[in-house]
Amino acid sequence: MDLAILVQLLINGILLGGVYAMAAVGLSLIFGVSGVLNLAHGEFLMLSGFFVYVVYDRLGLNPFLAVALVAPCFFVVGYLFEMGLIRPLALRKEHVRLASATLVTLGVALIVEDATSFASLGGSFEKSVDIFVPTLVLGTVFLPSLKLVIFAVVLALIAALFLFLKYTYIGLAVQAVTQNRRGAVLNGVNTFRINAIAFGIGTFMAAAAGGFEVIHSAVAPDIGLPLTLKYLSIIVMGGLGSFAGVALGGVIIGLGEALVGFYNPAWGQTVAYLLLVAILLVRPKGLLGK
Amino acid sequence: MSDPLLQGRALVRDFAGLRALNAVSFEVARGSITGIIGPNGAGKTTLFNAITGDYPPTAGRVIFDRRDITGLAPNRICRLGISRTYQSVRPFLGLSVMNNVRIGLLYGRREALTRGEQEREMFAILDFMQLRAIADKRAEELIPLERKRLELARALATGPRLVLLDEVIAGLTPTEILSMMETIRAINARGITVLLIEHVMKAVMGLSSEVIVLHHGEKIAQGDPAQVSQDPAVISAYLGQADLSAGLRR
Amino acid sequence: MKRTLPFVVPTALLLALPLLRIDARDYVLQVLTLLFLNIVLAQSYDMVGGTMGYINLGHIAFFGLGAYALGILYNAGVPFVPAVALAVLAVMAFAALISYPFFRLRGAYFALAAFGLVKLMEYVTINLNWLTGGSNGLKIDPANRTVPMYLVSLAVVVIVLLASWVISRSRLGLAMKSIREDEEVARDFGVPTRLVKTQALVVSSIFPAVMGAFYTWYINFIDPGQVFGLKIALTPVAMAMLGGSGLVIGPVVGAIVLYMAEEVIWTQFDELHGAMLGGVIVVVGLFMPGGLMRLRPLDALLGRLGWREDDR
Repeated sequence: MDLAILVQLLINGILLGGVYAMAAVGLSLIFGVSGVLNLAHGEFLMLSGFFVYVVYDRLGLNPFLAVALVAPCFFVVGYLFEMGLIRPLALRKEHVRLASATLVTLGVALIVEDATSFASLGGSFEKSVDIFVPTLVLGTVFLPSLKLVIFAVVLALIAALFLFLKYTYIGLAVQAVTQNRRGAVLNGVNTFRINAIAFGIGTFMAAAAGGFEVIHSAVAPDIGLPLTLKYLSIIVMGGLGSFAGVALGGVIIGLGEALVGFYNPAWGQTVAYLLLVAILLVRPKGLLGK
Repeated sequence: MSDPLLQGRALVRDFAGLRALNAVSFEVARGSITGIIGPNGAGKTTLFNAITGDYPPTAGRVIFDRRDITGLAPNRICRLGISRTYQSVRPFLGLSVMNNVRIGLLYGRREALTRGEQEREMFAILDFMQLRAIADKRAEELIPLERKRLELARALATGPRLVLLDEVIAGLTPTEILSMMETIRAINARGITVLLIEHVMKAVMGLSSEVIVLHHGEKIAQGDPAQVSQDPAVISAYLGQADLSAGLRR
Repeated sequence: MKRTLPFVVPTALLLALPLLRIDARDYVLQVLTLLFLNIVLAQSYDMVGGTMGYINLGHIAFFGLGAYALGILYNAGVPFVPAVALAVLAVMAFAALISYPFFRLRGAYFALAAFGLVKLMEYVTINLNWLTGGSNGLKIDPANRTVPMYLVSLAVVVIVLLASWVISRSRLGLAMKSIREDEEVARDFGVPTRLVKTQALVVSSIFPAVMGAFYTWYINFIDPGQVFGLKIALTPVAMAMLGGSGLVIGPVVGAIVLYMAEEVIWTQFDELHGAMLGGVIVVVGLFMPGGLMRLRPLDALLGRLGWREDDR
């Protein structure tokens, strides 16, 4: 292969993987803290993309500003989602709780998807933002500066989350609950509040990813569940409780899709699931899982 | 000890850099009741898990009835004749009492039983553990004492030659303790060797013919109860745990 | 007698239905056939999902594989009956093969990986153009097979219900339940958990495989989105949970109720069908953790019929 093409594909893959990683880290946070498979994660991403589009379209705001406006609102959405719909399941037996939570989040996913498609005049209507930023050219390699900007913001957000988890009281509590729920309770951590906060942050990450999605490509009402599935694959691949693993998983999938997709776009979409199964064969608890 | 039923040879178990068991060697005589004592975190339950194969030892060998069972799967070890109870009881909550026991009868035994034998054996065990009246209840409907008895019943259903009892006495009232001690003696009288972890000193000392003392993952003493309770290493291990050292001296 | 009557009478009536000479007959049969398909999927899902407690979000993969295997074999000239048998055997072999890696995963991990498998299947069938016709789908010689398909589906419903009942009272079923309750303890008491899990998955794969094979034969045309869709994957799961996952009677009741609810929603409202279905599913998850058949009045009814199970 031409070296320049390879470099180009690597760059594209990493840029793509960054957005994957961010949304997946959000989902992983939720899963780690609450043990809930949030099947509505991708729907919040999609919904946020729509709101970003509406704010941009109706108010004429800069799309990045629109993301900054919309995404934080989704912290509240996630927080309330946990309080209203996930918390009532807390006392059920383990496998019953998993089943109930799967149902509830699936139901919410169906509602959000259908309502969005209803509100946006038919399901297949794709929304995307027109924004022109010049592409940088380094020799024979093209650096799409729009994606670079997004990548920088994504990195900043992931770093911020990492610092938050490492250095704040709430962040430490989140980690404690992820590692040992009962131990955390015994040490006076209010796990309900921590659950809600994890849902808030996780949903915020998804919402930010949704905003970037609409900026650099497009969103449509039916992308939610498939995206959730992709993020779930990334999490399983990376290993529960390992944010580094999840970030790595996101980048691996981004790279895989870019490289394979160059030769055959359809197989590119298959990479995530092939890798998922392949990695689980070798390491049942994911790449960096313990 | 000549021809022990169970033998641990230099057992080591590590958990993520933490050594929970360090070169523990011990022997359990055929037909005995052997006690394991030691402060919290001494590695007692880890030792059980190493024997049953739940967390196989990182190094060392487990010999059961002259056979090396190190690294065998728990279900195979069970069929060879070792069964257990858990420190915090773990009955199959959604299953009836009968089905809890039936699991051991159907899967835990080496030889298949005929249907008739199964039923006879089950009711004998239910009667023995005083569970017959509640045989149709689901385990989640039982009170804690009944759950403990159910755990014992399930352990007996596999037709074990050795049972590992992890704090079956803890949390019981004085009267219940006496009746549980009777039960343990009765199990032993059926020819089943008993290895038990217990914090209630009076019970361990009263039941056991042999006591193993663990401390920080190492065996610091093994011998008959009177001898062990005079052992300076044992006494110093319990220093600062007034109630326990008081129990030892009593 | 009293215990079997509520099962035998409806079966006999349904069996007689094709004899009816009314205009809407074929429509009625088609609606019921789809209901039967849903019952079979929900009921067989629950062998692993409910009885054994492994939420297998990838159950539909067996259906889709069966459908494609039959289409491919049939088009290659294999006579119909051997083609069905081969398709089902292929799916069983597939189930046995994946059970090893997949059952090393627990709880949510397992659910996720299985869910991913469905998506993987969809893409693989799209990509294997030469074999499957890709996203254009796969056709077989068209014919109207409404009545035979109806009868076959009814028969499979009866068989899957009997199978669930037999399994729940069998040695294997008890081991499956013990795995659901506490897998480590089950292993400590002699249950060869890996083997039991594989057996359970293989048995549960037979029914969707059969239905998948007949589905292609009935509908004459399949495409990847149709047989490997995420929503088709999740509906049987929701049905089983609605009725009462882990009970023999649960999935079939859930399938009937949810299917009827869907029909009502579709005929009574013009918009937001998916949202309403979602609403129903949320309500079930929130307020009926045990499903309909564990609600007190229905549980009492089961008791009176002599259908109540000891382990529930």
